[in-house]
Formats: sequence, structure tokens, C-alpha cells
Amino acid sequence: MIAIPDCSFNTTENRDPAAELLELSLGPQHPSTHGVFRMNAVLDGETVVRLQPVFGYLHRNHEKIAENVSYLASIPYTDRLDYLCSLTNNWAYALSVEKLTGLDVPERAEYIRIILAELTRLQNHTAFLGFLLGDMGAWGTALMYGFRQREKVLDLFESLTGSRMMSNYMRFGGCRCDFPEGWLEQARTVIDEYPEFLDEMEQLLVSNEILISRTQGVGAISPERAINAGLSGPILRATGVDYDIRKVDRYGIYDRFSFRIPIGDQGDTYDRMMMRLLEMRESLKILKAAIDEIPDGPIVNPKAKLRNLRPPEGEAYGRIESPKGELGFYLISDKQPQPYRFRVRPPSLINLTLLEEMSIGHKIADVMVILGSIDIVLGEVDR
Amino acid sequence: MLTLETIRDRILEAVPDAGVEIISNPGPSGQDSLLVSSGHGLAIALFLRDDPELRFDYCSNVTGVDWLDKTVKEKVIVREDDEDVETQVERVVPGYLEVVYHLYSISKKHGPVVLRLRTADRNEGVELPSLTPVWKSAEFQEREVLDLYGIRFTGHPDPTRLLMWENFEGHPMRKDYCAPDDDEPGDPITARERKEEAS
Amino acid sequence: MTQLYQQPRINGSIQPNQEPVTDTDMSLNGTTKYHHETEVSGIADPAPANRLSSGVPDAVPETRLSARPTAGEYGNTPERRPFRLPGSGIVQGMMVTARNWFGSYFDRKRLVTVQYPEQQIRPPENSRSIPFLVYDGDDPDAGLRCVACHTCEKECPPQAISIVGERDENGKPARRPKVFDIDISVCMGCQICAEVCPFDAIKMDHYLDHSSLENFQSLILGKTRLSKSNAYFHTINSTDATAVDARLEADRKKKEAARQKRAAAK
Repeated sequence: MIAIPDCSFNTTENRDPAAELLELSLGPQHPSTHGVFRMNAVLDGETVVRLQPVFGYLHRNHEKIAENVSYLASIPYTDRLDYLCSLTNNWAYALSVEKLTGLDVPERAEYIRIILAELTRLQNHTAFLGFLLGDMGAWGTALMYGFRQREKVLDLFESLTGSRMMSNYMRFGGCRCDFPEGWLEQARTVIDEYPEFLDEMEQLLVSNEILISRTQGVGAISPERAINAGLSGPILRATGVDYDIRKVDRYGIYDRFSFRIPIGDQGDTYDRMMMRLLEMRESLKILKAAIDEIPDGPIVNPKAKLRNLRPPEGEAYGRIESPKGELGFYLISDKQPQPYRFRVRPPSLINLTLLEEMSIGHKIADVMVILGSIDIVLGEVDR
Repeated sequence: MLTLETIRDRILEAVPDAGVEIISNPGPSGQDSLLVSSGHGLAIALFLRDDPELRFDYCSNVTGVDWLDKTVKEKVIVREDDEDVETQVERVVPGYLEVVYHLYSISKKHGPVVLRLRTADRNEGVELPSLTPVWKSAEFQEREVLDLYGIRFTGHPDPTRLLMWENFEGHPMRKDYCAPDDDEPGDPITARERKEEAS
Repeated sequence: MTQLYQQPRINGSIQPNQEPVTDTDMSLNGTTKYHHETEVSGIADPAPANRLSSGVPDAVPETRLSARPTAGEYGNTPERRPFRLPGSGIVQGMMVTARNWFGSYFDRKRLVTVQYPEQQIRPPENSRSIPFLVYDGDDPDAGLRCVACHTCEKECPPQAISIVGERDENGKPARRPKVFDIDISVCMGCQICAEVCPFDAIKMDHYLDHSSLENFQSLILGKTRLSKSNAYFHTINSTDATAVDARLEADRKKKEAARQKRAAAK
């Protein structure tokens, strides 16, 4: 016999039990919230009526720390913002300081940066696919396949920068060290093997009926709304907006490479997932060209100062297309060794602006998938 | 071809008695900014967003800056016994809080335009119009500025703290904020440093 | 539901263009029929004069057809699929899983793990955990390269290093540390200390197992625990160690030559 749970506490005599709303606090330790993220959801049955994200559980005031240490000492802290993509964080910060000081970057260093940034994009999107499937309940399989492939990229990072994730690699006006022997060949092997993995991933995911019914039409947003809410990166492009900072700003030397920007048209979870899958193929194109063309030369501008950097008075906002979206650093210098103002424009936080709008009207189980498709890292959301 | 001067003139055309001032940036980045009077902030933001030529539809970055009171030494000529005497006078320039908006245009693909709004002072008059009704992307970021700098945004849909907890006192990103002493008592290095400081 | 299966939006979503934009079309010599919207736009670091110019020619219509990639180019993304048996996608996925499972018995590429504590993979030379102090020769005290210049202490981002310099009997600095502590509960292994050290005295270790039962004292590594020989440095990172040795040797020779020159001048 099945025991019927006693629900009498949930009703009062005068009220219609069907009209009762349920408040549910998700997180901050829920496995699907990607860290210490909390959502206060109001449910009507299983349907979301209201959803309020609660931030701050991982807040350590990165900006205040950075305003009290030297420009150099902030680089390892930027690694810990979006800890999956430390190299793009480094780059965004280095780019802003270069704008602030007017430093040029040698050509080889630009190539190294592009190679590393695109490898970062690859490994971030690979991990993303695994996490997204995990959020849908497919724990394990996709995640492990993704991680197996991602490890190969992390091995490359470790043999170059010394650390798998906390790279601390870019410097103002260049990079810290050159490739060790055989690194480019190893990278070429990884890149050549990647399409095989992507094919397999697509075979596993793209036409899977369960995945399609869990993602298509879930959490759709319009391009106007996405722009107004400041979304950036793959989730902006999934709505059909043709905006990639690599193309628009052409920072670094991205204008030398031919690659395309995938664009969705529905702005739903499925499109957001496909954006990542397709972007990886484009990254491979850039990587192949960059590895073939990389010139010899110095890797750091000889005019660049490592210690005691005192940029001239002024301010600068530099931004790059990180795997998560627009990552920007806003710096104000008052000629001191520490920045007067240090601000991170965190794509993960701002991409959450529309989380409520995306989720309303969907089932509570879909909220996890929607959150997963936004691809947040709490180190960056809370800073 | 749009320069900051033409943008200023266009704003003044559309929003007549608005105070708009160009703040030049001495650094090599050359990103000058527009200082906007807080009373007309909302109207100017709406104009920048909806004007078909400017079309700044994307508010990328919102942040606060704290400028402390500054003591400026100036030379003043005082008339004394029918003689001009130059004396040095110290004058306090009152500090203020500032909110900085970085605007881009996705449809026109230009930017950034840096918009600045300043409060009257750092204590009581820290009220500014919220631009969240114009750009929703400012919602969380203005909450963050409210939290860390203590600027009150009028017209914000949810003016609560974003990162710190509700009962937290103070605004940590202000330059004169003193963090509570949370050194762990058992830490020998701290103990040694304290002893050195004391001696 | 069946309808959903029959018309997967794969085709709708990532549809090929009627006239696909090739890479040559995307170049900047813009006489081609389709402008790639993002290609012709943009301001990277514009000169101050035209800082806000959009760069978009007026003739370009605001359409969004350009960058959609074609399906055939993208591996297995199917180009047209009018009807598919419900469930065939799942079966396809199962085939991938099966290939991986059986493959793991034969293919090294599909079996990538090792039995960790017994089997260990040697980390790459550049790998790093926490810093250590290098000494030359056999005596950790006499051979220590560190001269207590406090550079690393100042640059350390989380301020994990604490140095007290030795003084000789006259009270003059003796160019060696009396105390050199690194709090490894604070150290984040960023290697900035090793990078800024002008004497190549501090380098990054590979050793990872630093757990201890006590919170404070046993996580503060003193001079004796941090000192490791140059020979050890050669075993973990021989490329760097050889380069450092050569550099120090050259420095020493230069100093020696300068001293001899001075002596000859006298």
C-alpha cells in the first residue's frame, strides 16, 4: 500500500488548495546551481511564478583587494574570477592596463594570447556541455566525455603556465614566458583530435529527443530584451544578435583570422547550447591558422615594467569576448602603484539579469537547465 | 562621424537646459566622458538610447567611484594696505560619489560613450536617478553600487543590497571604509608583526 | 510530442544561408553582395578624432543573415531531416556510449585515467605548487641564495611571505635571512615571488601533499623546511635550473673579471 502524505498543513479552511503558492529556496548548496548560488522561487504547482536570485555567498571584494595591491599583484586574483577561463581574464586585465599605459604588445605575444584564449574557449565550452547535461539529469556520461577532452587542453596550460587553471600568465605588454619545447606540436595534436570529439558530442547530444524536448522552446528571449538587459556572449548571439567583440573591437589581432560567428534565431536553451558547439569549430579554425602563422620574436614589450608600474593619470575601459561574454576591466589611475579604481564587468552576473524572465512560466526543473545554459561561474558572479 | 562634442550638442538640442560637460581623460586611452547633471539623467539616457543616429542600446558597464575630499593649496592675491600680497590658502574641495555608465550601440556598432553622474556630496545628498528603466542591464550593477558605495537610486525597482547581507553596516568600496579586525588570534605571523609594530 | 520529433528545430535554428557567405565575402573590400555585418563595423582602438565613428557604410541594411554557418560544414549536424524515427537520436547516443565503453578496453585514448596513489604521472617541468628556497652545495645555511632583500615579501599578492633579515654583530645587515616564513594556508602558488626574485633564490616546487592536522603553526613553513638543494631543482625542472646555473655562472665570472680589473688598476 502506498502511503498518502498528509498535506493538511498546507491548506486553510477558506482557501482553495489549488491556489496556494509555494516558496522554494534553491541553493546556496544545490549541485545544479554551479556553486553557492541561491534562488528564491515562487511556485504555482510546479510552474515558476517568481524567481529571485540571491548573490554574495562567494563575495570577497576582489575590487577592494585590487585597489590595495600593485597592478602586477592583481593578475593572480583575476585568475580566480571565472576560474574556468583564467587566461581570458588575464588578457582582459592586461588589455585594460595596456590601454591605460599606452603599451604595445609584440606580435608573437599577440599570437600566443589568441592561441591561449581560443583554447580557453574550447575547454570552457566543452565543460559547459557536460555541466548542462548534468543539469538535465544526465549525470556523468557527457560530463566525463567533456572532462576527458578538456584535460588535454589543461595539460597544455599546465606545461606552459605551470598551472591547470590558475595560470597567472599574461603580463602588461606581453606574456610571461615562451612555449616550452614541443608545446606547439602537442597543441596541434590536441586541435587535430578535437573535431573527432565534437562529432561524437554532436552525435550524442544534438538529435537526442529527450534533450530536444528539454531545451527547445525553453527559456526563450527576444533580441531586443537581450540587448536591453546587457546579455553578452553566446547567449546574446543565440537570440540572433550579430555581436561578437572579437569582430567589433578587433582587439589583439583577431582581424587577421577568418572565422564566423554562429547566430541562433530563437534564443532558447537549445540555441544557447548550439552556439557553444558551433563556436568551438570556429575556434579550431583560428587555432590552426594561429599555430601555423606564429612568428618568432620577443614575447614582451621591452618598455613594459613588471614591478612598480605607475600608469599615467587617466582611465581606461578594456573589454574582450571571454567564453562567457563581454569581460571588461575599468581602471582609473592616479599615478600610484595601486589603481585608484578597479572594476570588473562580470559577464556571468549581468547575464543573470534575465534569469527570472526566462524562467517564468516554465517548470522548476527547467530552471536548472536555463541556469545551466547561461553558463555562470560563481567566482565571477560574486567576485 | 560622431564625436563627443556633437553628441553633447545633440543632447543639448533635445534636452534643453540639461547640464552636459565633457570631462577629458589625460591618459593614453583617450576615453573622454560626458558629465551629466543628475536632474536630467533619465531624460538624457532615454535620448541616447532612442535617438536613431546615436542608438546607444547597450549599457555595458555600470560602476561607482568614490572621490574623497581634497585639500587644494592655491595662491590668492589679497589686498593689504594698498598692496597686493600673494598668500597661500588651503581650500577643501568637497568629495562626491560618481556613477559611471559605459554605453555601446549594438545596432550601430559604435561606442563606448562614458556617462558620468555625480552626487552632491558623500554623506546626505547621495541620491541619483536610476537608469534601470532605460537599460535593464543596470539593475544588478546599480544594486551593487548601492551596496558597495551607498548611492541611493531613485526609481530602481528593487533597491536592496546585492552582495553583502541585509544587516551589514557601511559601504566597503568607499575609500574611507575601515574593515573590522578579523585576524585570527592564533596566527603566529600576525602576532609577530603586531609585536614589531608595537616596539 | 511526435511532431516535435519529426521536425527537430536543428534545421530551423542553424540553417544554411541560401547563398552562403564565404570567407572571401567577409573580407573588407566591400563590393560583394552580402556584407558581413560584423566585419565591416567596429572600432578597436580608434584614433581620438573619430573615436565614435561607427564605420558602418550607410548602404548596409540592418539584416541578420550573414554569419549563420552552413550545416554541411559542421560535421554531423544534419542538413535536412524530414522524418526521423522517434527515439533514433537516443539510439545514436547509445552507440557513442557503447563505442566509448568497449573502446576503453583497447584504445589508450579512451582510457585516460591512472590508478592514482600507486601510479603517478610526472608533472610537466613548469608545473608549480608552492615556492621553495634554493641553496647551492650541501649546506642549506651557507649555500642559501636568498639575501633577504624583501622583494618577494613586497610583491606577494596575499602577503604570505614574512622575512626578517640577519644582522651581524655590528648590527649591519648580513645579506641572509634570519627568518623566512611562508604561510602556505595563504600562499596561492602564483609564482610572482619566483618571477621577481633578482637572485634566482626562490623557485616553484612540485610537491603537493601539504596537509596537516593543525591550522596555524604547521602550515607556516620556515627556512629549514623551505630550503631545498639546487640538485633537487635540477630533478624537477632541469631546463630552468640549467639556465639559471648558466646565468649565475656568467654573473660570477663578470664580477670576478671586474674585481681583477680593479685590482690591476690599483
